[in-house]
Amino acid sequence: MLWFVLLFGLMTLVTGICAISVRNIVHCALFAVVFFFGIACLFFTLRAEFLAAVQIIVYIGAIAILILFAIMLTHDVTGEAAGGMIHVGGITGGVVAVAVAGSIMVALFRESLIRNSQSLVERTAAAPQVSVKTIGEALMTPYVVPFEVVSILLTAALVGAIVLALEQRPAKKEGS
Amino acid sequence: MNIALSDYLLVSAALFAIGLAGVVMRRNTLVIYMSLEMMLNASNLALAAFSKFNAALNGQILVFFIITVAAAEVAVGLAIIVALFRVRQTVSADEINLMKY
Amino acid sequence: MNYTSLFGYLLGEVVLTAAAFVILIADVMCHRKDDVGARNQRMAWWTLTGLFLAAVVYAIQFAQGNANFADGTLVINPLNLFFKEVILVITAITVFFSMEEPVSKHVGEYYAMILFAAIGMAFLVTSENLLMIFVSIELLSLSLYALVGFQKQILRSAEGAMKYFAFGAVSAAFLLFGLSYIYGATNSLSLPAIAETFKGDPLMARSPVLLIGILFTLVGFGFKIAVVPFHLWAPDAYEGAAAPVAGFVASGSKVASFVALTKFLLLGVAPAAGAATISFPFTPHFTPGWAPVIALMAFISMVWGNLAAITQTNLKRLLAYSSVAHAGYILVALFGAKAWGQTAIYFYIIVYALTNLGAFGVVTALANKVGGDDIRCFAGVWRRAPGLTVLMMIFMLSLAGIPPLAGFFGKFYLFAAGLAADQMQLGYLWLVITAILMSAVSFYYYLQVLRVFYVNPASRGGPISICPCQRWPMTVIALIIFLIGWYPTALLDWIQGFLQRV
Repeated sequence: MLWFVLLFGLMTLVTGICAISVRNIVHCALFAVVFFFGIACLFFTLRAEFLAAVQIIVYIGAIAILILFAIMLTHDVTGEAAGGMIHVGGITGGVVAVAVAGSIMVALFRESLIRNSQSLVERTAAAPQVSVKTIGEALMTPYVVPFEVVSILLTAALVGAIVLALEQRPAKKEGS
Repeated sequence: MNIALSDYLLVSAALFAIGLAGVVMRRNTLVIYMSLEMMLNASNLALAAFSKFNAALNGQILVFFIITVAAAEVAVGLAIIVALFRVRQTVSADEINLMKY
Repeated sequence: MNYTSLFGYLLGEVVLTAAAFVILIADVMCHRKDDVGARNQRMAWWTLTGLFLAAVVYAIQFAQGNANFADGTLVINPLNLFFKEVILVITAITVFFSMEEPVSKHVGEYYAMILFAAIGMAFLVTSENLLMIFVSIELLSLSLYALVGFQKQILRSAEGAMKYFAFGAVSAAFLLFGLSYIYGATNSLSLPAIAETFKGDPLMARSPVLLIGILFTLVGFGFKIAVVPFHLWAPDAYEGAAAPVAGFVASGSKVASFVALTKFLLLGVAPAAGAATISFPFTPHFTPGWAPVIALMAFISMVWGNLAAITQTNLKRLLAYSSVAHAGYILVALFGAKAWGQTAIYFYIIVYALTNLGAFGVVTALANKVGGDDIRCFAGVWRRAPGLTVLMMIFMLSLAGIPPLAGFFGKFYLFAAGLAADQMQLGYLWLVITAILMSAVSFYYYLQVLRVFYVNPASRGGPISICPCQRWPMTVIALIIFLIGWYPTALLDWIQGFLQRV
């Protein structure tokens, strides 16, 4: 079990770094697919089988494919202009990202200092008994209101996306 | 040796930062979207881990909602990209600069 | 689990959803062949009917008792119902504003999206559960991203939508990461239950995992309410969007987000406030928590928002930066004693939303007729549209906080609440002084706008006719601002009464 977690954790980290750093955006998307798969495997190790299935169906089956379609629709495969990632925005961005990761990790470390034995981050409780049945019951009883709101949200996204992506005779360009 | 909650949280923090770095450092809007999805995935991982170690179900429910919302978000985002591409013929964030301060 | 009673509680939102579907279907089935202007008006009336019915439903629900459904996912009490009514009024005014001229040729979809956004806002003000807050923020945001991009043949609109979306999605990721840490630390999603955990566990208030969760959540909220440094999308989105949509984003979404933020901080994680006070003589006192973050955001927003507004040449961008500054003022009241702070924030957010909506209404009514929304286009409009210019004067003076108008009392209550923080020690006096100084600075650019409207020589052109569908709502807003200015205690007593019945 431990080895699986290490393997998949490492896999997500490596593919994540690759996905944001390679030049060709089709390769980026393919690395992202492996990344999503790695997260699904980590869900398995957390005994969240339902989530793992949903992750594979939605992220790999829908989102990654949608992004690949968008890449083809906008036929811009090579990505960045020359110069790539080394520019002022890139450097400050890197600093911000490192600062964010650092602050989270410091918080986790200090959490275990403050409550040495009963630390929040070192709990090793048993997993809750989760089955598709319990999740379905939770969705239809205590969480039925957000469930309905999400259905409205999907409709709104559908309508909005269709209107935005619909082809229209281009009007006169402004600017540039 | 057992796997503690903190191991998952460290991985999720690192993934969140990698996603954030991708969002700020890359110029291609499609890669920016992928990095955004990584950030969402990182918080999903943290939630699932918390849910397991808190021995409670509602964390997993929240992840389910997040995945649903993320799919809708990607649809709208890609539609915006396509709309922008139609008028502008580019997907580079550098060239989205008609409006300045 | 009683679905029938749940349906009763949700009836208002059900009516709004039904109206959205009726509009979508009616537009496709019946009005495909009509010309766009006629379709636009017909759909607008359908939308108004839906809003009116929902308002009636909420009014009836006032009479019923309070209800708290499933872990705070749906909380019915007079305060929440009042805010739902406010949101319906804001939405209705937006619909009136877009009646004269269609924003895009997708008329039915436009009004449906406005209704979807309104549903998101209504759910946002009515929930006390982190999951529900997240889902309704997303419903609201997705609808607004699409609305900003609706004039897609215009490059500015698509660009504005793109920026709004990119910033919004990053902030949603931060919000989620924060929520997941708060959930991890407290093992609950509902705000009252989170507040409960502080009682049993003295270490909770300074648990680093909880604090980092709150910090990230505030980044997410900071985007929705547009405070520095998360404000960058606002000027671009406002400039790119059609003027009625910009007004809707600036008022409706602000009201809902501020109500949710106030509930999150004061109802959920109040014990983790920490402190960032400076007491006399100059002894800074700092404890980690959300207070230092909010104080910093408020300080930079007030300073940067006002200074950047001075340099703007576009009226919509000026209003965007002024809204950044106003978000900063509102945050000041979060430090007040709980009841006072809440009352002051709710009072001000209503006054501010109405005033801002009015100002965007003036832009809507005039922009096409004077040839753009740059400030110089409005030169000497006074001669061409005197009534509208008087209305604009009322809105600008109220935003600036000139005494007989509602804006003055709003600011007064906000700053008084900020001063009343921690047992009259005047710890946040530094923030209040900044707020007062910066609102003095803001006089400059509001009066500058008025100077252009009144004094500058007029561009050629006859009198501008304003559609009654825009004139009347704006007049009503101006009247409300006047009335609240004369009897500020009336609205104040209302809000306090609602707060007591929560």
